[in-house]
Amino acid sequence: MARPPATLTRPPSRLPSPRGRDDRPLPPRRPAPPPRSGPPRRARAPRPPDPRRRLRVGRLLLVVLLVIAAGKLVEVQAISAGDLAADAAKQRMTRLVVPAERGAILDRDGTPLAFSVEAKALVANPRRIAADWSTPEIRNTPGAPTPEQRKAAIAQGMGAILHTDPAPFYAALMSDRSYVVLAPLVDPTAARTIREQFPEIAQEDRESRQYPAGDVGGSVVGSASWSMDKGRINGNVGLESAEDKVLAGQDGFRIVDTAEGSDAVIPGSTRAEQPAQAGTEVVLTLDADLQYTVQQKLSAYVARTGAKDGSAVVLDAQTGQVLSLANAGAGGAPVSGDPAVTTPFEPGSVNKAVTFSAALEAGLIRPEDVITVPGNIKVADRTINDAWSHGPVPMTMNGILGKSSNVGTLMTAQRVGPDRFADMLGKLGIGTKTGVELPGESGGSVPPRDDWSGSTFGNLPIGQGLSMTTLQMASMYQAIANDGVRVPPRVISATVAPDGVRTPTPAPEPVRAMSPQTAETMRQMLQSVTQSGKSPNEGTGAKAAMDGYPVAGKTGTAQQVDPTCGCYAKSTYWITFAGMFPADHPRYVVALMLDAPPGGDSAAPLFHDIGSYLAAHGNVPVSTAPPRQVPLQLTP
Amino acid sequence: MRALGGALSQWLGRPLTSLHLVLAVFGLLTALGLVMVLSASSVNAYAAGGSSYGVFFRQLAFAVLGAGLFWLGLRVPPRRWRAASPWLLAGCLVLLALVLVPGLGAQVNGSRSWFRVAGLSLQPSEITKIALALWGAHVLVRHRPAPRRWRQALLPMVPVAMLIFLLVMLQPDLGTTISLGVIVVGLLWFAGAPLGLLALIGTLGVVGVVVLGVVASYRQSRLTAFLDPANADPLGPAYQARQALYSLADGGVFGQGLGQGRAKWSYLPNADNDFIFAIIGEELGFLGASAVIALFVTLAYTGLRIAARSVDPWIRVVAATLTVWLVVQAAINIGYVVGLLPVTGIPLPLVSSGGTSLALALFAGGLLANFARHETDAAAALRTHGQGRLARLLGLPPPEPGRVRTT
Repeated sequence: MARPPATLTRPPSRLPSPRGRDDRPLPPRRPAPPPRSGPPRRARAPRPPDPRRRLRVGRLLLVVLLVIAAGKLVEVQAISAGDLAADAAKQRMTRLVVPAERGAILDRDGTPLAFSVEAKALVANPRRIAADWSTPEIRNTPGAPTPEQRKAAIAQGMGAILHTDPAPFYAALMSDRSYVVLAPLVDPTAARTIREQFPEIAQEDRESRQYPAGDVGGSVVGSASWSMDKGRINGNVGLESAEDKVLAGQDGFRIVDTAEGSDAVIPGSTRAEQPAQAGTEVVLTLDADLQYTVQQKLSAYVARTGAKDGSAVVLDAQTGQVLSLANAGAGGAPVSGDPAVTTPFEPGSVNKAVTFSAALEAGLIRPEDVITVPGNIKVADRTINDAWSHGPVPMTMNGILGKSSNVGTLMTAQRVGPDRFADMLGKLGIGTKTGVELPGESGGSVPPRDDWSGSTFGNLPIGQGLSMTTLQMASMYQAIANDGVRVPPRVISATVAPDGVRTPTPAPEPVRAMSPQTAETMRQMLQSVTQSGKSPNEGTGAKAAMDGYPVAGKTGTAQQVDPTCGCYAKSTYWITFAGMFPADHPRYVVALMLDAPPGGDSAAPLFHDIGSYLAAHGNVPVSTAPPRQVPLQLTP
Repeated sequence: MRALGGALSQWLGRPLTSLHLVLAVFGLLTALGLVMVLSASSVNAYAAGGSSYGVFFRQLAFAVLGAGLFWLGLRVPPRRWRAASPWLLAGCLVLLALVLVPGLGAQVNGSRSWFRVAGLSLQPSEITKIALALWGAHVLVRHRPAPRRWRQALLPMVPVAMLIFLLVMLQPDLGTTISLGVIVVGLLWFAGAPLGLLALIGTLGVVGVVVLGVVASYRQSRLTAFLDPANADPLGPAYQARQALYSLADGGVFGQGLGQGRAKWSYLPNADNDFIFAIIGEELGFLGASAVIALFVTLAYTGLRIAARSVDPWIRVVAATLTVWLVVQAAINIGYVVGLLPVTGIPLPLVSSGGTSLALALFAGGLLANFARHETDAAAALRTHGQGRLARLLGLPPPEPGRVRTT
């Protein structure tokens, strides 16, 4: 380092330095140093440093340090800023899903049967809680709870706020895992309260599916629950599953910057946004009140008769819309799934309507025609009896149907022939799915025409050897109720888009099954079934009759197949009833099925109960005409 | 341009320019610091206490305390400060010993460096920095014109400084030790200690810092993260340095705008204290960050100008040392934020959140302003023309006559 001459101590800057760096003039107006008698000259001692030089060197060093920093700053903020900023954006950018609200399911009047509410799942990381409350700093703080005490406090607090048992929370918190769901669906307000008290608890967005009517309509509506995989509510069964795409809508997204370690959105950082498209509402043809009552009555009746299960379907006679669809398990318990559309059974005598419709349509019979009916009939290699033993008796066609004579029906079927019978069976929809919107529908089964053996035509006309669902059974009678035109049943009447636009479900293609005259005659003949009178002029379904309303219907009792022998069982039956009222201008069609009631009880009283409610519920005008009375069996 | 240069040199030549520069630099840096502390701490303060102003109000309280200390530094004549310096340092040594006692000193981030008094945290090592500068200058300038022998330079300051280093490293606090080392070197340099001695001390100091940096694992990991960032744990010490660069880069030339920074959303740890310069760079851009550097350049110029214009050698050494302390600390802080140095916990003077540091930096500012009033020309002007209204309001006595010879 250059030094000034040793002889000079001050002011050195007035003299040129050896390196010529100090030849600047002094700042102006600087007072000259006081005159001195002369500094001591000590050539031998170490040369004293010049304080001003040291100040200048110091200043230079400081400025150089700062200038170097500024140079690097230019590099970071200007030259490589692009790459660094891109990396920075990458670590902050988050794609947040904006959940679409699932559409509600409503009844025909807009009463909600299923809808969604916002909910939160409360989750925690038990390992992290244990670690955070075990740090030396916490442990050295007097009065700090141990991890166990803290977890117990969290469980207690959650239990108090959620009004539940805290034990499961404690057990979950004590597990050695890094992610536990403490409560899957919590009201957002309660979730906030809990998180304010216990910051260790995190929340995740959920949607809670509410079924305000409980199990009512459960068979149709089905159920939906949160799917972790899809990150949304997912339909499991019923319409929730079948209409999942319509109900779910389209999740939206937001591309934003979020804070490190959380989903807190940094204000003003939204880069792109697509709003969620809310799900579409599905409006059903069901009537919630009717559905409730039918369900209650069916469950009670199944419980009372001891049947294994049962189902009931109510259709609008003109439109074929499903007004009510109920299932009940043993003892009247709710069932999973929807057997009324998924599980076919052999209908028994209810199917005799096919035989008589075909005979009337072919002009072969009139209701008051009388034939002599023997006690049994041989078809191919089989002999079929009537349900009651009798010798040859003269019976009207009304009587054969009203008293459900197998022999008389088969005698009529012989005149109709298998082709015309099979044709009518097809037009009435048996063997074909109705196309209702419910999942898993069965079309029933009818043996293919080519496979019919001789004895087949001894079974089908009386409702054995083929199967149908309760819904198909109702649809078959709906054709008779609607002047011969079968409108396939539907359960969805419309969809309502989030913007409020209502789209009615397209009406299904109607099928003309028989002429209006045939249908009207059938309705009259079917009233014989519910006719009360002195034996032998009483119908099999007299208990279905309603005061003030003519009822047209048909009872059915079908032997079940005993799985042990593969033959028809002697004591287990499908008990069915299908009917309509008022018989002259039907408003409602009701189909009922009871699976193996031990006493073989008829389903006619259940029709009476449901029909009475329907008449009041639908304000059906009372008929003033006296009840129809026709001879069924002529005294021999 | 020439006229502008002329006006500038004329302004620089006026007797009270040093005083005005000191007031301006300290005022601007403190105000900027308060604004940026509010911005940088708002998110974490809100998350911790429900109010975005939690950290800011504490900083504001210390700024008010610092303003009082500034006034004290300005008001008390320099010779009294010099007379009081041994007692100040003795008091600091007692406090440094007491803060190590568990129960008296509070531990934060693994260092037992704080006294908690009435909700405020006080850091005795910060006070020690100024006390050491005042006392060190006091003992060094007794040797006229300079401590020519090593023994004169070393005794008694260096043993005392070693004791202080020991006490601070027991906390442990490497950042403060480095600042104290800068003060010791500054004192020896400006007092005119022999160059050979300075070279030796400088070498020993660098070796000491490296050794201390390596022995503690957390410092070592910071060091390796700095030397080999590619292989460092990305979520470890290199993370902080990386995040600082990200936020500076996000700022670009013009910045994201005040309050619009992203790094403070939990990306950049210590955003409101050690890394506040990164937030300045992010929100105010290169313009704001370089303005801060320019203010520290101005501080370096002004402080050393005051030293150069002072006839009292004690004032010269103290003014220069305090300036070096503040500016070197700023350079180290900015250096590690921009990625030139390994991360050390040295705050940006006057700007970083941290109460004692701000208050004591303002006290140093008060002393510098006091010294500026005692520049020969300034003192003469103030005595001749009388003091301004502000000085009368603050109750400042007229500067004492310059004493060329100090006994």
